[in-house]
Amino acid sequence: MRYPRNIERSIKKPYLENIEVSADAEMDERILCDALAAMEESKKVSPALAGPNIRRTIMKSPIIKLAAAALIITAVLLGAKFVGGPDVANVAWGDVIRQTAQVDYVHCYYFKNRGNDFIKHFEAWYDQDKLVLRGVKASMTYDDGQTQQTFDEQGRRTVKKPSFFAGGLTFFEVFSGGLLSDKNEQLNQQTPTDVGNDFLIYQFDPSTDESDFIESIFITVGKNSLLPVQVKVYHKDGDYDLIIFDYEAPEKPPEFFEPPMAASANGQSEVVLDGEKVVIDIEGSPGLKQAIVRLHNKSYDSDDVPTFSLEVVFIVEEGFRSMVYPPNFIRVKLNEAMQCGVGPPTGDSFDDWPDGKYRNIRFSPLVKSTDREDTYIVEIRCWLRPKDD
Amino acid sequence: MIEDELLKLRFKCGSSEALRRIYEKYLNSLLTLAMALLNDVNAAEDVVHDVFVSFAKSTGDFKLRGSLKSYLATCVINRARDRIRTNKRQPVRLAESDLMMSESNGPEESVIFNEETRRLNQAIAKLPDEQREVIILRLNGQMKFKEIARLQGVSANTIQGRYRYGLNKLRSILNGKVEE
Repeated sequence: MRYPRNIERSIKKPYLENIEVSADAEMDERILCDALAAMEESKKVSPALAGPNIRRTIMKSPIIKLAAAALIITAVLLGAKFVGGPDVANVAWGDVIRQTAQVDYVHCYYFKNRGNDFIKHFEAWYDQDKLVLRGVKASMTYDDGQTQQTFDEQGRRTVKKPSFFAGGLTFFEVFSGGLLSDKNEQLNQQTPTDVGNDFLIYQFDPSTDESDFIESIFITVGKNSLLPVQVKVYHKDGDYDLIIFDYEAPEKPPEFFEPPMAASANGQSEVVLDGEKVVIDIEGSPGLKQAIVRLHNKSYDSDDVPTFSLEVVFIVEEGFRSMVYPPNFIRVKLNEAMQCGVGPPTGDSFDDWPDGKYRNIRFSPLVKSTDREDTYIVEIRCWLRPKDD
Repeated sequence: MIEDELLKLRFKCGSSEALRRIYEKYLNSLLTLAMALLNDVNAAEDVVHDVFVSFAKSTGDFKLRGSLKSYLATCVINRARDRIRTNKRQPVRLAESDLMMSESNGPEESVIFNEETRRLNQAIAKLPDEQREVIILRLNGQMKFKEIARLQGVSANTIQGRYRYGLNKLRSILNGKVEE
């Protein structure tokens, strides 16, 4: 075989298709067991895992900030019967956190102040074990305690997977990554740094490694209600992050809790596991003609959910093929949809198709079982995202 | 993305379940990347093993603002580089020893090699390290030139040059114009 001038395309296909490696049980045992053992050993050496780092992490992550805020909200609810008395200056942070376990409803805004811009990052509502999160570009995430689903601004479902709260976690535990529970004794002992007429203020200093960019963190709690009002993280460059909480149920959005019906797939086909590639005709998605899929390498995750490698290549109306995405395949779980994207086979941008046209292919694959053990249904929801999105 | 942020936080707090999930999520892609760089399944497994063990040890001190996937991939690339450097000091070059890999693997071996792929791998193994790494990261890792440039500490133009020269040399090798 002689290799042409355009060797990149000539070698890409066979190279990508054949250099695939997957772990077997023996490898799993060796790598995972050693890693878990190393982690346990590391914990023994550094017992203060939940010390100042927790405080730092809480204030650093947007999700944690949300959780912190949510925690505070919880406290507010209970605060009505936790009226501040003479000892209010000694109310430990842990007391606030513990109250949050009884909160039924939380609403929060998360804002970023960057220079002259004040940007709303997301807004979330949690009520009676259900969560709705409105993110950037009007995406909406719904979690009913069993399943979480995300829909984009066009109402297309892009994600479907088990609930944030699977395993019995609370809203606060989930959105703090497990930090904002009453198990962190060091953090729980913090008392207010300021006691005003109406508010208690808890101040957290950044850790050494965080102090490069964070000046300080303040959490304001209602003095009488012990409800959190806001979390404010001051950056050294003058920017800040702000999370505001309330617990007024009427503030819920009209769509709470009414997730839209997932639109039907743009194409689907039965696919034999470890079998040949299957061409799926795409309908109702302008600009996209076909998807070529292959399903292989079935395994099980720690919850015994079947997991597969899925290769996807799109053919656009003009006949061009997309890059195999990701480099070799996507790991998908049975009955769980995920959001993916793919571009041209070469180049660095979505403009690098042979005709120079911008094409950003977004898709959400879903693998479903059939009554045959080696055959599955692969559904493809896909669309071309405009450049100005 | 939310899931990875939660995983990072939980991992930082010492959650073994988070480590397990990260492992399950990224193991295969990291193995594939290591395999592409090292062309040796055992070496690839060793590298990924070391990356995960080292990663696990970092719990508590773990600090990452960017993508977890990119972080782990970078760890694999760095360790693969170290391994290639070490092997260069041995009497047998990695590129030569690699050729024995396919024969030594049993039927259960999960790496699938056909003749064409073997030829390609042998040819890629003969490229200068810098060009080979760029080609693998580009084709197998699907990384942008800018990302590779950041990783190798040179300009994106240099990376594009290495990529182009590497492909030219690869074509020459495969077409028999360069003595193998």
